[in-house]
Amino acid sequence: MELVLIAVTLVAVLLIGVALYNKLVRLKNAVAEGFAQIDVQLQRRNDLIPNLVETVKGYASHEREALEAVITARNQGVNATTTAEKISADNAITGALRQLFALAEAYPDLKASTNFLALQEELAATENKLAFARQRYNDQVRDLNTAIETIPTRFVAGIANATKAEYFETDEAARAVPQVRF
Amino acid sequence: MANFEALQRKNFRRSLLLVAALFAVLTALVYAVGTFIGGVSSGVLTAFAVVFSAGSSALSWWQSDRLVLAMTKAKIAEPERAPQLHNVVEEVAIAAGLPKPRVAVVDDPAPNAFATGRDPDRAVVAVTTGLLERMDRDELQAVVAHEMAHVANRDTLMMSVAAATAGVIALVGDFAFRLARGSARGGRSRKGGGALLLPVAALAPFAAGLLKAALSRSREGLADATAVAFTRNPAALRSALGKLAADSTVVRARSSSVAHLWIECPLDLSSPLNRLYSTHPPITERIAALWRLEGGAGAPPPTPGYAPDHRDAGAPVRGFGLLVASGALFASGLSAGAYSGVVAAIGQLCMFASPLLAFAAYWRLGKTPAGVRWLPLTRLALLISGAIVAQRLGSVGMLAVGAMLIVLLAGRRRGTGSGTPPQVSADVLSSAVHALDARSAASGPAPKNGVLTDAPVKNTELESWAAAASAKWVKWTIGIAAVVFLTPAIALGLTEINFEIFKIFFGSIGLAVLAPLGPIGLAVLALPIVAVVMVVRRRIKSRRARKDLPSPRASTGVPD
Repeated sequence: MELVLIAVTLVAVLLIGVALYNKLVRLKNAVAEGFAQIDVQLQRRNDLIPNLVETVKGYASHEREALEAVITARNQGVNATTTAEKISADNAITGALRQLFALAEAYPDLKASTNFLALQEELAATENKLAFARQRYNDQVRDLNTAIETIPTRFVAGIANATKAEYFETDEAARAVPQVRF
Repeated sequence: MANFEALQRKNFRRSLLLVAALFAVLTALVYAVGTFIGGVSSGVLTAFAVVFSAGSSALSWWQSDRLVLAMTKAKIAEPERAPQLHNVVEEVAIAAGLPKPRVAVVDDPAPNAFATGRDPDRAVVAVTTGLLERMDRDELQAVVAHEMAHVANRDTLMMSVAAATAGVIALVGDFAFRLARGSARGGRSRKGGGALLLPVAALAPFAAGLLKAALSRSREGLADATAVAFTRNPAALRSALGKLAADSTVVRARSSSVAHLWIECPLDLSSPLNRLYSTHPPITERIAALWRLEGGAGAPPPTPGYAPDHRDAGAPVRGFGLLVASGALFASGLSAGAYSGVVAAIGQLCMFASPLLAFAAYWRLGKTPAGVRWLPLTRLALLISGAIVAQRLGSVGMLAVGAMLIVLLAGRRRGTGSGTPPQVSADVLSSAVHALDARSAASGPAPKNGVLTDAPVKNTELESWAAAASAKWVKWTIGIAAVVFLTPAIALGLTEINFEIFKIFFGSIGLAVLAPLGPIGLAVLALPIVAVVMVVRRRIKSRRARKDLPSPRASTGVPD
């Protein structure tokens, strides 16, 4: 009788352990997937920028400085490999784009161009997608970190090889411009 | 200060409770039928109803995307035709962590939107052309987020289950109603269940409809909270809802069967029946909840072009739903009384829960101006269900509860407690007063009515109206309370004559337990009924005399 009880308890503990382990693995993968989504959007923005630069050049070619700033930031983004580099490039591109769109205000022909308007909408959407992807990634990081720190998942974190993830933080300048819109 | 996570949890709990209540009504009904025609045949009947109703609901859920698109005349829009809409939907899908749904557009000038589809992989989000015209990008995003929240919360499935359950209840209820009526006519009596079957069969489908509507409302609240979790922008959703409320155009291709899908109720809310079965919470309530999420205090700033009127400030739907639920529990408790064992125990629980719900209804109705009118009926329900419970408690418990209730009601009347007159919550009041002020500014000072003497006269027409309703009725309910509580006390020991016909009559108005009191008890009981009739007549007369009562529609037409 006692042996049965011990066996049942052991099996129950094992099953609970497996469930906790699986939960941690799910959270870990969700964080990885969240970061991949951010990457997709960063890439999309990098692809849109050359088009935008070409369009703006056609109407406002002498705004060299602003155009070059955008291109420099964009190249920095394309070459970024680590998370820290990506975050800093992301902030740089957002700032440079804001500058460029502010300058575009002075060119009525540019503002009336359907090509420019379409690009502007695409970039605004991409900025939003980026913001939402970051938000979701950060939520998932929060869930993972909470699970690693709290009982009972804390006990299996080592076995599941789960380590705390870093938040994707933006600097104040980028946070002030949630989307580009005129 | 509220946060959206707490709001999500609250609405989720409410949904669970409502689904449980829906199944409780079904169980009660099936048991009531079981008492009447016996276990096996009632099982066959129920199985038939379940197969029929659940089958059709499952089919409509499985095909929901195609069916709903056809019913609303929505057309799938290609990304080239509506690039911004597609972008916004994709943004929100990323925020929700869901696959991007298909996007459809309804060619309709009324701004509105809906979502459908049996799972997130097959979801469709549709908006009207009117919505695209009127909303800016952030507002469009908020509306789409609300729809994506429905997708994320699996509301198509949820409402299909609710519709299936309500369908089973309607089918069994209809059959049981014919059965009970037929037997009453034929004079047959089987196991004495007939008297109880009739009220249960009549009430259950009504209660199921109300519960279904309440479930839909709680899912709307949940979707609002979830939408804010996606976009973290309650202000945009609030202004979008304001624009929807300000717009009075009604969707053309509307149908009550898909009403719960839209972000704003597509039906004409000037019909009281549509309001009672409303699938959406009053828009002012939703706006106020979002305002609190933004961290705002007090009433939200008024929306341009939208003066909240009487109807949406105080649709007493929730309180009324509670009242009916209380009645349904009461009837269920009565019908289960014919059993023994577990069923009887559940019946006892229903019985005891009934006055609690009635009390919740009382509290809830007192908060809305339009609900105040229902308070007398609620008090009566409270008294009757309280009386029955007290009777089950035995004569000592009964006298104790009766005394407590009378003290409670008397306390309310004297204004010693905090609850005189029934408290109208501040923001509901201010919005209604806003509308009334606009009216009296145009037509001079509102005439005072001379009915209320013992309640403090406040400076608004609305409050004095509420006070008049409560003060006059309190006297009568105390009188009725005394009679109701004294009658069973006197009659408890009297002869018990089982008049089936009396049982059916009183059962149908929720007084079945009082019927066994016998002829003397019934004679005493007739007294309060006569009293009620007299009061109602006098009330109607005095209502005719007072022409100053604000009619719900009168306050809308006056320019501010």
